[in-house]
Amino acid sequence: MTTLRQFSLCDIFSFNKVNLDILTETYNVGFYGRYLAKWPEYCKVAEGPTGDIQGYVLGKVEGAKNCDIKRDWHGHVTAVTVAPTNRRQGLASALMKFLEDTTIAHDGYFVDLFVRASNEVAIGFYQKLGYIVYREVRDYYSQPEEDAYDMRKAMPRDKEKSTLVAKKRSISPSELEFH
Amino acid sequence: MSSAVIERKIRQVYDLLDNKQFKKALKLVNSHIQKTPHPMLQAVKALVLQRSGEDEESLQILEELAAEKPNDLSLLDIMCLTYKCLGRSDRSAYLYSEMFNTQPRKEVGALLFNAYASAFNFPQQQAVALKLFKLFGDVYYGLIAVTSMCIQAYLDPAQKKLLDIATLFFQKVRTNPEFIMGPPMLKLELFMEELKGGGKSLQLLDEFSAFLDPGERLMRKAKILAESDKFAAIDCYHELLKLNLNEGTALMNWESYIKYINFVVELAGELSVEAADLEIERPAELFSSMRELSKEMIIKTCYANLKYTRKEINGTSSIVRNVKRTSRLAELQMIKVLLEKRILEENNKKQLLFPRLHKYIRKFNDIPSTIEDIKLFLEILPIDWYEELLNLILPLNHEAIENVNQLRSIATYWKLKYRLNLCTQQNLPELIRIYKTSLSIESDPKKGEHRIIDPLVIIISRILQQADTSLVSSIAILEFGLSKSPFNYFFKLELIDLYKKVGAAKSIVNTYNTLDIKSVQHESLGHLAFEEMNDWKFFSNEFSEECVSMLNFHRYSMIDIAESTQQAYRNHTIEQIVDFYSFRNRITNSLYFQLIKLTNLILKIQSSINDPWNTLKSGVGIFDAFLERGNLIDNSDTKVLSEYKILHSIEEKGQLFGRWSNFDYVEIEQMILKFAYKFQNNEGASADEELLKLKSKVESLAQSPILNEGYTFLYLLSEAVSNIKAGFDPLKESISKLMEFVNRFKSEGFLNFSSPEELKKTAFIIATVGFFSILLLKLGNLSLPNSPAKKKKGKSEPPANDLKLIFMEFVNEFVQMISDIKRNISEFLINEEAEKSQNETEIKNNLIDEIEGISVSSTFMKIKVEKAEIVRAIINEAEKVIITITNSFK
Repeated sequence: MTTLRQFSLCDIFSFNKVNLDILTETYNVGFYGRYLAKWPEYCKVAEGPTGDIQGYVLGKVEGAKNCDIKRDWHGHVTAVTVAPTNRRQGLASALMKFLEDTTIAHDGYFVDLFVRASNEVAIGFYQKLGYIVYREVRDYYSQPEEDAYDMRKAMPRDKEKSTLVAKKRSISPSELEFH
Repeated sequence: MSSAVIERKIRQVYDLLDNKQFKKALKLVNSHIQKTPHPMLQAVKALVLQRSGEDEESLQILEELAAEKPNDLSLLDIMCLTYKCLGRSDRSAYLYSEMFNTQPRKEVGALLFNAYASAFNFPQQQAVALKLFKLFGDVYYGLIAVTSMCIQAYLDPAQKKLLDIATLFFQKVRTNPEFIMGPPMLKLELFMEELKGGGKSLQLLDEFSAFLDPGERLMRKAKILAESDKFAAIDCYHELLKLNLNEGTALMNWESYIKYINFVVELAGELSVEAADLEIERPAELFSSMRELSKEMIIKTCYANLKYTRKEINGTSSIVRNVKRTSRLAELQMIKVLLEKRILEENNKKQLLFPRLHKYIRKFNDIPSTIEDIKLFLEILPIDWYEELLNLILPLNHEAIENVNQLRSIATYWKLKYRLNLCTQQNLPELIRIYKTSLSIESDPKKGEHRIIDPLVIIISRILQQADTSLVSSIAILEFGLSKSPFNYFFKLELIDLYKKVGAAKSIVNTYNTLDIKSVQHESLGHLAFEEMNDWKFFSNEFSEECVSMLNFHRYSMIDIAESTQQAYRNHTIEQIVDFYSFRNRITNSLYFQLIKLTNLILKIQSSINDPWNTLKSGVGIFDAFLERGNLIDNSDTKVLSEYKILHSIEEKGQLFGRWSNFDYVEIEQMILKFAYKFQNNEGASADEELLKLKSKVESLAQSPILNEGYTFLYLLSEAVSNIKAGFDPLKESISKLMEFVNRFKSEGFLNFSSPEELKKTAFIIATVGFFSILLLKLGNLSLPNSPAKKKKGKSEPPANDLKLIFMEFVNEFVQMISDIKRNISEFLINEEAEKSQNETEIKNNLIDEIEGISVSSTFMKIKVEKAEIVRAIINEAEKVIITITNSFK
């Protein structure tokens, strides 16, 4: 009993069932505002029949859209999260599918995301959806300090899946092309 | 002095600000100003003061600078940055507008536009954007003018005529060679057309199809078509729901099912069908046109479409399973609507709902939200059917538990039983057995995960709560549950609620802190701890921290929202501008924010109680910003624990005591502080006006059940203070009323400490009434010798000392009252010892002791210690009140 709909800034007043989860970060208002102002089509909430927020996804599109040399025009998953009581319904998969469809509509080459290297549950989930570990980003996370996996999935525009081949398997955060 | 030197000096101050060294920054900027009183340095000082929390002083400097009508853009930038941080974008707009009038440069106009955008002043935005478009031919501002017009028409239907101007203007902008038609432009045009209700919307939706997800596009289309061609609207829903017949295109869009069902049922109109009529064969093609069908067939076909969707889609993925699940729920929803519309008679209810509910629960019992999913359908069942329904799913409650899947079905069974309000004390042994067994079956949860069986812990604790004497046991089981499932925040929320019931205020604060509340969560969840801390009144440190976090959240969110709005304009995302406007309104009118502002002021006055007037003066500006209760919005998130609500249970209202849930008290606090300020500031007539308001407020509450001793006392005290000016007789009468009140209060044995609520009331009276009494008595005492009444010639006034004696007599009575409270508390402590042994006997008999590791006794002792701390805090506060009053009147 879920509807995926446009993320509204007012949703952040009532997303606690999702955000009290220890692995879900709560940002300042400007963070959500920026995403909604710049990439509204990449931000969705999963809403229950009584208006409760069950999960959401925040993402963006970045890179050079028409540059076939760089091939870096892509969708990025900034946050995807589901409340503990709304798991096992395929909600996270649906949110990820939505983000991928949006990237396809934007004609992106791939979708990427970062995940804590220790977060086995999330890594397993992304792998199941077809994401691979593209490279490792050393000390990407703080509190606690930890490496990140930069995971990617090629979109139909990248028929040869060339964007999944990394020049370096391990980089530092300063070497990231996008922040 | 050269600008380079000034810039260097400013850089030094900024460096300190970046490192949050506010005091050093202020010292440095002051020394720079002493040497060079340059306006740029003054502006930087205003910024430093704002960052240090000295808003009033900061604003004062800015206003002095503004009075000089500055026209240096660098100076304006610093000033406007500070204005923005102070939430005064209106002042930035004023300064930029003054400058733009004399220097109509694009750069200044852009800043002026941003200032109006930050203040959500749409008419002015429109005017500036139009001017910029005309002056510089910039397409961007032409489109922004269109956007501003549309938003005005959207927010105020009386402004609908603006849409015609916007349309014409949009056409004009489109002819500009720089105009590029992209998704934001299409969306703007669509927004405009939909507002106008124009026929072009459909065409735009089609043009826009590549940029809107199919769900949104078809829902919008159906809404437009509903007015002109109902069958075409149904075709839209059909097109949309057809997507769910295929794994690759399936959508999560429950709203579309609801709208489809409602629309079809409404279209069919008055009709009568039987349960058997719904059992029809699969149509040749699902979701085909209904244009040629009879009313009855429309209903039947709709039902068949919903039902057979799940048979059409194949696969094992979570998406496929979700479509099948939603199909079952949609079937239930249709039955519910048909019953509500009396198209199906009540006698069909059980026959239709029971097997479907049973099947749904059986098939999807592994999903944590199974019972929440069917809540709306359970609510329409008569209560006396509950047992029968529960018996249907009894097989889910396995006797022997061997695996995790069984745990899931057991959890579902008990969740249903609990929500049907069928769990009793007799179930405790079984529940505890299941929970105990589960601990050996289910592995420890990974980070962020909860245990499958965790809901049982909450159910156990809720059952225990039904017997008030078992509150401690209830806490013990939750604390134990939390130790086994440390990422389950539901336990923490439940615990906070229980700690409130037993008066363990410190535990509330500690547990609240472990929730890692950040940013907007201060607004939506702050009430969890604030309410309680506020009632107990002894958490000045925690209070201050929460006040600072909350004030910071509000300050920065206003800046954030202003910046986000500017970004939305840059990206022409019109729907987001409207969304941000709503958000800004909820923040501006926040009930919680109002309370925090007042609390913050009271805390500041408390810390300078010997000479509170400067603090009161510096904070009095906030009174002008106070809103009426009717205009305030409560942004508390109350849905967090909705999955643990018994069906048909009545929403718990806030307690009658305390100021959080009782805004009348907040208003009285405001009025007293305002009165005290005006009285002290010799604003005679205005002070009298405040007193009249206070009097009228208290009188309006006189018949209300929420009127308590605290209000009455404060009102009488305020009246006495105000009568100092009225002369000897009115003052004497007021004081007599006060003494009568105090004596009656004392003789009624006013305090009985049998419950935390009573203790809380005591704490509240001492801390709150004590505080305001000191403030007002201080005011009376200070004012007595200079009472203007005694200076009037021709009147025989008694000497000031006599007035003071009368006042002192009352002060002594009041001090005696506080001493009595203190003595009563001491007696209470002795009685508590007796109670302790009684409770320990109960604990020994308690079932929860059966679970290894749970020590109810230690929980009991922990709470005892906390209560003792509270009692000691009350005594300390009483001591403080007595000393302060005595010192003030020596």
